[in-house]
Amino acid sequence: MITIKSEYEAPLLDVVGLSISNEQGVVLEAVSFSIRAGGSHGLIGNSGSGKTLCCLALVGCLPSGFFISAGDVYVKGQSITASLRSSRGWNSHPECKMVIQNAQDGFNPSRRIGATLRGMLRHLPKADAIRRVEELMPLVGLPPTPAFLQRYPRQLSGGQLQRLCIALAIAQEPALLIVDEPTSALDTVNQLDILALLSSLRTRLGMGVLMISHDSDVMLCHADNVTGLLAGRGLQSTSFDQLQHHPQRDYLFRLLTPARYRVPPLPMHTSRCLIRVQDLLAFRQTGRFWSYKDQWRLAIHELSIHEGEIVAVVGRSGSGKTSLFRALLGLLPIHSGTYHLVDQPADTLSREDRARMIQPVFQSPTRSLNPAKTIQQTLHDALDDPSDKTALLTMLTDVGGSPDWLPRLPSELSGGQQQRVCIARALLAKPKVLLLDEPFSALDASAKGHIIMLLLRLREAYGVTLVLTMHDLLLARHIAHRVVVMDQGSIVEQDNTSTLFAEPKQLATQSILAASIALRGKTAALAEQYSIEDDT
Amino acid sequence: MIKRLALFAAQRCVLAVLVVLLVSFMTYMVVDVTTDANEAIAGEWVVISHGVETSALSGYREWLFHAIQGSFGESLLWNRSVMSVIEQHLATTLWLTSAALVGALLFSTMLVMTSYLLSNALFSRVLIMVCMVFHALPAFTLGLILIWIFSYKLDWLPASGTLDWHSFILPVLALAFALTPRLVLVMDVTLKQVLSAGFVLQLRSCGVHGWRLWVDHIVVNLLPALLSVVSIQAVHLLTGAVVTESVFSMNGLGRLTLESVVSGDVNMIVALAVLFAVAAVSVDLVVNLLIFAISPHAETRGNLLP
Amino acid sequence: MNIMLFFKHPIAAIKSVSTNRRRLLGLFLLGLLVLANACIDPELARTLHLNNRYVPPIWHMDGQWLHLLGTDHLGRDVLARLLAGAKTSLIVGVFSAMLATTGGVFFGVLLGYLGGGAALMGRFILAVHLAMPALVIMLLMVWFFGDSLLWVVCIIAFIHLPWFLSISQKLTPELIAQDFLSAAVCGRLSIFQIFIREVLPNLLPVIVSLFALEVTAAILTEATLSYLGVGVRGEAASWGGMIADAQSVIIFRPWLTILPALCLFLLSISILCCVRPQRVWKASAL
Repeated sequence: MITIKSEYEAPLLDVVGLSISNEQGVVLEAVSFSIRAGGSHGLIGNSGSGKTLCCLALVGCLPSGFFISAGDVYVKGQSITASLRSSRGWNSHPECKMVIQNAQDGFNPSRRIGATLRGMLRHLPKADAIRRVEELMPLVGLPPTPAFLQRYPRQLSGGQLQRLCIALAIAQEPALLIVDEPTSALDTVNQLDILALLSSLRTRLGMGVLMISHDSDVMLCHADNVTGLLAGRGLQSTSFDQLQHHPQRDYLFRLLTPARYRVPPLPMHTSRCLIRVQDLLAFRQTGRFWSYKDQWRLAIHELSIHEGEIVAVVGRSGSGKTSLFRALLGLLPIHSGTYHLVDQPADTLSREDRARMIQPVFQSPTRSLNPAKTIQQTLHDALDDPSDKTALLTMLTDVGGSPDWLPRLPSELSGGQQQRVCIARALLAKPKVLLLDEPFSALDASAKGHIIMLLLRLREAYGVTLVLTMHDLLLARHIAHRVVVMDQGSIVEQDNTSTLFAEPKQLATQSILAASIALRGKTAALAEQYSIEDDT
Repeated sequence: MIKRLALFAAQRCVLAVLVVLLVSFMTYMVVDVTTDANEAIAGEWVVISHGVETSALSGYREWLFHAIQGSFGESLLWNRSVMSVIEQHLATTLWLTSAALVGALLFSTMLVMTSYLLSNALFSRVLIMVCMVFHALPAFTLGLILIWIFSYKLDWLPASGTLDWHSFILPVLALAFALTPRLVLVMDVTLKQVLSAGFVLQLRSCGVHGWRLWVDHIVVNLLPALLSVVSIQAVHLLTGAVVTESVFSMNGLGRLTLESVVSGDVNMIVALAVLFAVAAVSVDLVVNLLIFAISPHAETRGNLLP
Repeated sequence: MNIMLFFKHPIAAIKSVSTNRRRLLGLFLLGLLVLANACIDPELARTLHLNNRYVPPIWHMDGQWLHLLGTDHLGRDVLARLLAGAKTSLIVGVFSAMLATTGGVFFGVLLGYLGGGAALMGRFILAVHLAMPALVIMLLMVWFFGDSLLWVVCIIAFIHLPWFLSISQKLTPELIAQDFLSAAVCGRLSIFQIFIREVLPNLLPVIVSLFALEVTAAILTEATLSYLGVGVRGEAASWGGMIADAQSVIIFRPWLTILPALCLFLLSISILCCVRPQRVWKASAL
């Protein structure tokens, strides 16, 4: 992937000793790296280490209160530091363009996407602008039809919006493209597509790409070199071949490679069936109240989950994993079919009984904790037996938390800590089944390993059955006994892990597996090369 | 698109008519109940139905029958048809309320834009404080203060009457000042919300800025919220008009309302109530159509009709 | 002051109030008002001193120490009337706001929770209420039901209740869609307990700010009503009524108009001071 260029050519982007401060002091210092034309570079670091700030500084869009206090930035050999320092919140350089972190918010919701794109090309006459937009679309893998361009952003999916944001940024043919977390909200297949898109842009247009991602697989797939950011300091840039010689290699390894975990033991053969679902149909009304169309969000023919298992429900975005999750919890009304929880029909269960059987851990821990309640209040309300005071503290320490979390509000904890609290809350109700919705998608490699070890340990300690939804099939291979693959609201394949991976029968399974392997392959190789101690 | 607009308009019209009918019914009932038991200063009150005292519902039916044909009965106080009295007083109130609304919009836009352009935290805080202060003053107090300063102390402007356009200045100012605080508050909040949206950052980082950013992208997101609040403020305008016209002794519909209630002029009260309802509902209709035309999927906030 | 904190640790909550100067000022003014009201004999506001009409306040040449702020057209002491008017305003303001808040929030959350047809009907009722000329209805009802404080409170609450209804109804579905409520629904608490422990703490900050705004609005409405000649008038003192009485003599005796207006202003400001301006400002935009 590295294109060989002459050594004497000036790099596309050269950042030397960049420092960003606000009125309270230096926030980020001594960041240095350079990118060649057609090259790719990655910025990695813990959350809060200033990666986004660095990128915002390069396009001159620092939030108010922040400013560049030291360092230089050269684009194609010319210094743009002065104009970056004096920029008033907008990017005055056509050479560097950026795609923000949440691409879904990147488009004006009140204007059609064609109009927004044409607005980027004001310097061209109208006919040329329209033609240019139509040329841009296939470049990012979208249909160039006028009907598509007439849509509003809310009518498009996450992957399409991500591509559109990239199209918006490359409309004026910049030399450097900065992408901030381009893959975080996407499933594996989409992630691979976006990375392929970025590669093709590099080769076709000779663009340099700077990427931020917390996902090490994505970084390893894409970037030639990485720069780490540790506690506000920029580390020396390195390529992956030279990683072992880097002075802070332990920190970088932890960011890039997943921790190792043991494959859990298989359950006993005589375990009873906890969840049995047959011919389940669940739908939601769409359209106006006088004429609704039935849309089956969920059509499950047969699903059973036994005690002690770890089941992974895998599928692409929109395949119905979350709908299944909500239907099992009783949050999605079931139209027809049978659903038995521990041999009792689920609709005859009282809320207390159901709470003791099945508990959820939602995808976003920030949104699943009530911002107006302290951790203690949240956990107390989830207790199975309110008079048992010690259970709360025991559970909190079991999930790896500490008692000083109790009087805090959720906003005072980090994302990982919030997730542990959510797991504790679910387990306090002493459920038999624990449902987790995409618990790993927002985490970087080391945090993923920690949470996996935590879940396995809790499973041993409390005897819960785990049902996890995820979009990464390879991860499922490491931790699950059985894998259920979903596509478009129904189960296409379910089998023991080993059988499924040996012979994936359905097309959906095969495509997800191929994408996961393509994405994760490098990480596995790196992990083989440099083994680190896991200290969970 | 035109078809959807027409469908939307038809929907809203039907709802509007329903609302007006309901308002007329309820007002009639209330007036009937409150005037039955009391005696007016001018004499005995009679429920209009050509002589005989009938039940309220049939009285309402009679009234509705006549109202659809355009006749709202005779005013007891003025001894003329209600419509002619209203016509006489209409112009003043129309001028007063529309000038006040325009003035309030101008003031608030100017204040908010100044606050944004200056980007000074102190100015913003002072602006918010001043707005809350004005919020705490009722309209009539403002009017009286203005009278005292400009009419008595400085003797620049007349304090009452509707002789010429000079006498409109103070009332319009008073009413506009009463409306401005809420408009400023809503504008400020909405502006901050829109400016902190992701797409603004994305566009700025791609080089779109200044005038182009505002005209193409920001204004279209501000308008729905603003138009909604304007439609609600229009309703408050009517209440404010009653008070302002009393303070400044103007011959408008507001003072007419007050006099009618105090003297028990049944037909006039109901006719005025219906008129106000029609006005409120039509303003809301126009505003909703505008919002729909600008951005069909916008969330309409606090609009009149569901 | 975190309301939930107040219920658990009253002392800590009161201490947190004392650290904020603005809130202290507001509470101080209010406390002063209540205290002064309690000390003054209510008869003072009603006794006529027909020999002593139109005495100017103490800072004029003709002012008398007996009547610190002068007397009105019937010889009643202005200071005593102002304080009595404060009592009227506060009672009307606080009680009608309380009525409107509890009724409006309860029904609003209920309608927001039920969703579907009930919510549509709720919105339609609100539309009718907005289209109806509130002032006309209020004038009529006060005229009919009489000008006792009780009826004024009820009527103002009735007119203002739909505002709370619409806001709570709008906020509730957004809240219900949150994941933490889904997690609570999967737990063992009953729906009512979930409402109290999960929904209410999130609604309370907004409700408190709206309550403050509503108290101010109710006070101003009452003043407007008595200014227009309906509502509390005559013997019982009300600031609006005092302003109305004094309007004809505003040229020569401006203090009779300015003093009540100033009192209205100060009372509203001191109430608004007690809550955070940012919250009030955001809430009033709803």
